[in-house]
Amino acid sequence: MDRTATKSVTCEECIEVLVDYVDGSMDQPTYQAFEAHFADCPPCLDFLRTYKTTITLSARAFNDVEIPEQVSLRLRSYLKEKCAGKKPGQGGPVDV
Amino acid sequence: MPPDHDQDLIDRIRAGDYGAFEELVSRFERKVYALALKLTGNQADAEEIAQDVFLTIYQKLDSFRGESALSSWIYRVTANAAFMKLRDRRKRAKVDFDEKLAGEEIPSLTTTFPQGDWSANADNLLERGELGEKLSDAIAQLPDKFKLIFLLKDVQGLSNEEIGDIVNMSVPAVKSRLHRARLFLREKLQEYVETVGAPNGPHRDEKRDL
Repeated sequence: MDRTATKSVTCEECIEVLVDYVDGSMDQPTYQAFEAHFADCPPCLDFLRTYKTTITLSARAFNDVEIPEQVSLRLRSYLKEKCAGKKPGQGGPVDV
Repeated sequence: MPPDHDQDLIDRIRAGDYGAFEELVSRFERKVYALALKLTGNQADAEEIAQDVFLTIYQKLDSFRGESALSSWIYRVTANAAFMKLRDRRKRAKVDFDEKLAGEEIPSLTTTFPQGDWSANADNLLERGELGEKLSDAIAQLPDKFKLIFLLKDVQGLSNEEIGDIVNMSVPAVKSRLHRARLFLREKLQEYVETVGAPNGPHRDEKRDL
């Protein structure tokens, strides 16, 4: 496995900048340099693919939460009891 | 939803329109409950947090000056309420989790190159329901702020700038923590997938999109 630099990019740099790479927030020349490295470096390509898979699988695994109907009903009932008929914004300053 | 709609909603609530407040609750209750549940891992805590959050929003509405998005403010109130709940729970348990709570580092973060592309195998395991629990266990091991940033970005889909606004950090600091959280979760996934079975995804020489 070749871990030496390919063009001007090293394997370590590839791992460090994955956030920007997958976000698409790199400038085009930098992006192309990393693409060239991934094309020539199978371990980094595998790392990239598994990094991206971690993101998509996590989103799928955690994005399925719905608020139960009874919880929603209790929330509305609680808020009505505490808030209805009272002027909003009377709780004093808060760090926002 | 555009900020001017947010401002209109807030103006109506401030003017005493309780229906507008219920509209706000409808818009955000699932997001608030889901974030609270993922941060605390407890349904009863998530329900209490949702009640606290919307009561706080109603009571503190005057202090919202619109300098950040309404959604950012609501996420920030949710995160603070969840962290407070976790702190209380840890105190009751008489376990010193302060270091973890305030932790700026993920314990035992290692980065190991995979023995191949296990993506397809992980996908199959998730489909068969075997991976969800592993992911939940892994995310539970993250320090709270890493967990929050990961959830806001990769689950709720917020931008790095919005997250920085919520957690009061610079964008580079957000990206650094996000990256380390992802590396940690990737490593945990890899350990599991490589233990369960050899990668059966496409051969690495097979041409695929990056």
